[in-house]
Amino acid sequence: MKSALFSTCKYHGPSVGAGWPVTGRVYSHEHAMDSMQQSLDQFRIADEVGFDWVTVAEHHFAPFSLTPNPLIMAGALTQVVKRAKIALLGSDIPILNPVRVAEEMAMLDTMSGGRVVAGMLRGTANEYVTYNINPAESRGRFEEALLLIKMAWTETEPFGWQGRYYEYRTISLWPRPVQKPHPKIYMSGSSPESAEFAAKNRIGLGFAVTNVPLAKKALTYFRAQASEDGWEPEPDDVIYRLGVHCAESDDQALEDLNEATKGAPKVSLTMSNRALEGAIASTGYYGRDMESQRQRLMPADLKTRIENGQILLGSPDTIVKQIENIKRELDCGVLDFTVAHQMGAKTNRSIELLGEKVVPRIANW
Amino acid sequence: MNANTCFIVSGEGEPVVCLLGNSAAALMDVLTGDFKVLAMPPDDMIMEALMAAAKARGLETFSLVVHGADATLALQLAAAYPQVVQALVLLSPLALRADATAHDAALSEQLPNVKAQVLALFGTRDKAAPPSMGGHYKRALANCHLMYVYDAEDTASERLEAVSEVVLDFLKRRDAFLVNNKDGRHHA
Repeated sequence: MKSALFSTCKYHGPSVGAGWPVTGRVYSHEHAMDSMQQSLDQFRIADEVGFDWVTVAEHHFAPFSLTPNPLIMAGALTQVVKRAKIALLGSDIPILNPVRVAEEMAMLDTMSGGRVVAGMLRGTANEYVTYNINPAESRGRFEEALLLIKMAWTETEPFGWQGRYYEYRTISLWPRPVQKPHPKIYMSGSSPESAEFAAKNRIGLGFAVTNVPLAKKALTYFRAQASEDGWEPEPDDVIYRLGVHCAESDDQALEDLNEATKGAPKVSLTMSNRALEGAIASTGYYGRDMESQRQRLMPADLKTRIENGQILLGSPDTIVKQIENIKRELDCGVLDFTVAHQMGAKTNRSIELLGEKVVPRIANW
Repeated sequence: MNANTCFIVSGEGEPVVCLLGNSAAALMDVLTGDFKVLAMPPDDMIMEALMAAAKARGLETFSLVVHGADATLALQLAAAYPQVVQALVLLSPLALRADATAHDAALSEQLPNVKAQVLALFGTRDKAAPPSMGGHYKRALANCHLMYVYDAEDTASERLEAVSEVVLDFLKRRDAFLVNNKDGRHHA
């Protein structure tokens, strides 16, 4: 089992309220610079202590994450992370220019010597407001953009694209990806529509902001669909992302987390503006499984989150036991450990403990 | 074949000869809005008969729009009459094999003589003329624009709005169709 380290690049300076979008009236650029540096340090440590991947993601207009363009962060990582793969999990391709995404990922693959993992996501519901894209078009845009990006990576002759959402008269990528035929692609897999598209196009699935029972149900459907399409996904075709904080003891880990999360928002980005989320839901954004898709975004208490495999908390031994259960239930090949909160030296120590005492023990699972 | 009766002519403008079956009737209708369309049934068409028919209509030059296996005839015509054939639109062409050789042995030698600007369209879901063939046409023809039509199996009969938009633009502006000339303003 591969281990990935995801640092959200959370802003840890002063901020006004929650919700989305979040006002910048008390924004501190000093804290923002420090937050970014902390994330870079976390990624560097993860690389040094043996994580297989480091992960960046895209979110907008909130202190939850300071990487609205994760590819820029990944560009910095090509110079900081010397060994691990750099996973873009991912770019929200329906709200972006797909040719630009193809170009930037090809640049990163070249700069990193072929270490890019290409996650392509629809993004959280609120992201559709960011660049004024109709959420009802999310899935159509996603599917077309993904195939266009693959074509841009693999077609060596200049070509045009006459799509539904995208139209280009001529495309010819320079630079081109190092990995052939192209970097491994993952997409989010929580909905049945996603599972069907991934199975049809032989794409790996990533699960985030969910829990083990829901991911297991979605994976069962994905594997059945893949079987119908004539292939069997490998464990490496499945990424499961979850929160983590590791300390020398279980009590210390709990104390650290309680201290760090005092006063922190308890809801996800999507659900932090319920009126907006409701309006987006009404466009059909969630697809035919809307209720369970929205349910997985609802907040839960810490005990429930641990029981459902949404967060790993404790000593290295405790965390290994928690991972055993996840591996048994999901047979996923990649665990994407999200640092649960930015706690400075404590977070860095958590990453070190994971690298020294957890990553090696699960590597051969 | 009677050169005087095999054409169906409609529309006004620059002449465009279409060798298209009934499946492309909607596309031909769109073309008649901007061009003088001379439609000829593709069955049993031979190069000499087509040129005779064009001559009978007084056409000095024309563009060609063809589908599938008729790409062979169109490319031969463009190679033999470079002063007459101004531009070629190949819809899901079937002139070349997967190994890039031509189905018609003579065509392989003629391809370097095709000087007309070519627009070759491939549907991303096409099994008969798959997108993987597109590069072969691009490399074989001196002035070929390759265009993938997303989510189409047959570019002559599917995604009419998308196909006709780019075909019309190419026939009107040739190479300049690469340059966007649409009004990008949201509001005045």
